[in-house]
Amino acid sequence: MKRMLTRRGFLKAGGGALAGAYVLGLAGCGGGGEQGGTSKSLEFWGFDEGRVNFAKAGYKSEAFTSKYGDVEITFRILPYEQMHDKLLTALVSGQGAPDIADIEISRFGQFIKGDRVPLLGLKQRISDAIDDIYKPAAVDPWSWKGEIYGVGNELNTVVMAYRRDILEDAGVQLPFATWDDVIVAGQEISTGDRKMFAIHDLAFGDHYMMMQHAGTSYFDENGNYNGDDPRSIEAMQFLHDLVYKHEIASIAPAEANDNWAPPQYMASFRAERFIATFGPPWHLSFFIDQVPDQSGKWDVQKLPEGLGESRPTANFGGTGMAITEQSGNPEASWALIEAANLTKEGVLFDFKERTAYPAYKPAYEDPALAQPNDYFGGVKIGQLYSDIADDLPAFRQSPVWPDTTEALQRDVITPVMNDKADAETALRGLKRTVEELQKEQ
Amino acid sequence: MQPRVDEAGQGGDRKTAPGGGSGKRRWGGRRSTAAPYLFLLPFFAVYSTFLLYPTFSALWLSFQEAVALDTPSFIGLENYVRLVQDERYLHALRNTTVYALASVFILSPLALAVALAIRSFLVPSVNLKSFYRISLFLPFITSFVVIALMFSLVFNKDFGLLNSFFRSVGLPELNWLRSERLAMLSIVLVGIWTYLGVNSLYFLAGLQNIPHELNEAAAIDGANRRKTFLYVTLPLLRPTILFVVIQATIFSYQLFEIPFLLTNGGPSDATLFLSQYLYEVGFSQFDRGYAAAIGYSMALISIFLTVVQLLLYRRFTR
Repeated sequence: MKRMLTRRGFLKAGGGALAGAYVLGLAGCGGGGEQGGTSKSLEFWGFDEGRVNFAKAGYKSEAFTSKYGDVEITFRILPYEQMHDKLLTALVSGQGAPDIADIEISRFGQFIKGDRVPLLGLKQRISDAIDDIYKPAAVDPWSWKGEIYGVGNELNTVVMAYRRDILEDAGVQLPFATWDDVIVAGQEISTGDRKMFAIHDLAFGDHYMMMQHAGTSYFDENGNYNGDDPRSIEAMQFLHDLVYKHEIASIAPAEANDNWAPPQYMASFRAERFIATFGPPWHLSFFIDQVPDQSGKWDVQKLPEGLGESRPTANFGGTGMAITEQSGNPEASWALIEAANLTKEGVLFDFKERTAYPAYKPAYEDPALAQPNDYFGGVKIGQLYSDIADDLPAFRQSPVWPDTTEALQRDVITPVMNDKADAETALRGLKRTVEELQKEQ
Repeated sequence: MQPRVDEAGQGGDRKTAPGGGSGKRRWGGRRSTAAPYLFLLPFFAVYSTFLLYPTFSALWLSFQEAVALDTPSFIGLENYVRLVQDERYLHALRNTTVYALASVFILSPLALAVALAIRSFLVPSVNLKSFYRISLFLPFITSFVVIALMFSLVFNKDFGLLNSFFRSVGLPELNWLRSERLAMLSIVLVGIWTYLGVNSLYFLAGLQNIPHELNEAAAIDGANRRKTFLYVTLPLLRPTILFVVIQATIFSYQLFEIPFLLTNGGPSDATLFLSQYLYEVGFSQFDRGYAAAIGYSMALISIFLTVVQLLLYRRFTR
């Protein structure tokens, strides 16, 4: 009897084939994670070429090759958003994640939402080196509920930098002792075309640095919203007043898709429209690279006093390396993290390549970090960073950190810095938004 | 009759081969029934894996509470109820609708005007018409990233092209992308620049399908250009108008790249569109269930508006 392949039969067969392929696909994944694994082929995901080169240097180092010379690591660079999104998706789906990944400080909150953290705990592994690192910079941003999930190498201590030549010509006494002195000096040099500072209205960084300097942070030790703390309000009001009351600052020329230091921002410093700034080493490195003709004219100092508790510094930025729960060889993955972040050789590579000041304390014994910095008027900037690093405030992570900073930017920073909202009202108003976000977790 | 023998040595008499009931079914016959389906199989496999499965999976996800890596749990219509209570969703919906209205009521008439201009006396040379057609299509095939970068320079407050022009004619500079009042207008202007050309081409194609005889008949009957356009051209362009309006509406509710790259939804949500809000909820808040509900709401809105437009079209063509 003839057996025609009917449409229904075709669909059944096709469906069966698809289901079979799906099951086979699922069966093909898995393994590794906390249970261990000895895969000889690992994968590293990063979003910044400089940082991936830093990881590659760790891979090639004696510290790694002496233990895992037979392990091969594939390094992949993906765009910032795409890398974090793909990593999250791969971790949710249970397959496709790399063994090791760079996670930027402001994106880590997404990985600790919910009850299960899809990264391996590193607390035990790092315990021997814990006293050798500046914790607020090296591990706090990638820590949650007492466990450490990532290690960073950058000491992102915030300092103030200014054009010594212009200020001295104006008869200003340097270094600045208080913010009042800064304001007086700013009024001295400010004209229609020149201001002291460029304050951002599309990024939360300025407020984040100043609120830490004032002695508080967005979340308290229990993970509750703390942005309406009086010191945070004082910091926001201070930034607002620099522009609208004291008139020694203008809104930073930035844009939504590059909201911190786009070409026009650096161009305005080249044109001497702004003559001072505050920020971490990565921020100051933009000046060395993009405003080279002002070399030797700049100076740096710790943050002046007169704002809240007046901590001499704050913490801003950083990226940590983490091991995913899908890692096929957690021990080799840790060896890479250790070689890159917790050895002098590893962190000095990144210092030489990207001027990333290390969060690994023993590295400061190296003469390279004690050298005077020509760009910043011969200041021993490494010494300055390590001197103030012990005053870094603790970083308090939260699962709603990315959402909170987005809301803060939208509902507080932009309206306040455009003189359309009151700092206190806006920061208190944000509390309800953050509490709603926390409820949804 | 001697059956024809093909090169492969198999019987080729189509009258006796499949379904002949002789019990002498050959492999060649069986293969011929399966072959069309096998040719279709790759398409269905890809379609099922990458379209049908995600579509139904997302629908199921929209009825679940699925935050971060936690195990999803069924919550019925809660995510959809949350939509109407979510101020940011409603704000994004309003922004998207404003853009869609601008696409329909500003972009589409402009595109028609450009098409008429190209077809009419303004561009008499055939070669010039081809040139216009090519140049009109170029913005549509330009990468959104390139468009966004270009317009971020055009709209720049300090050294942008627009403000330079304003300065040169003595007008005040405007903060195109950072003013809550102007940011949406800027996005609409970019949308017009991007889609004007391709929509004009649609209209050009529609205009070319209108027989010349009808215009000539109208002229003989004494109709002037305006009347010919209103009573001959426009009614015959209805299918094209419907197509342009429907695709403009659908594209508007899918708009993501331009506002994301130019304003990132700001300032203060002034240009937050539904697609970006979906992205934020899905990948920043990592609330996958609610993000799926937002996605389905966008699909339902597009389907609803398309049906309304189709019904209106039918009513007016009766």
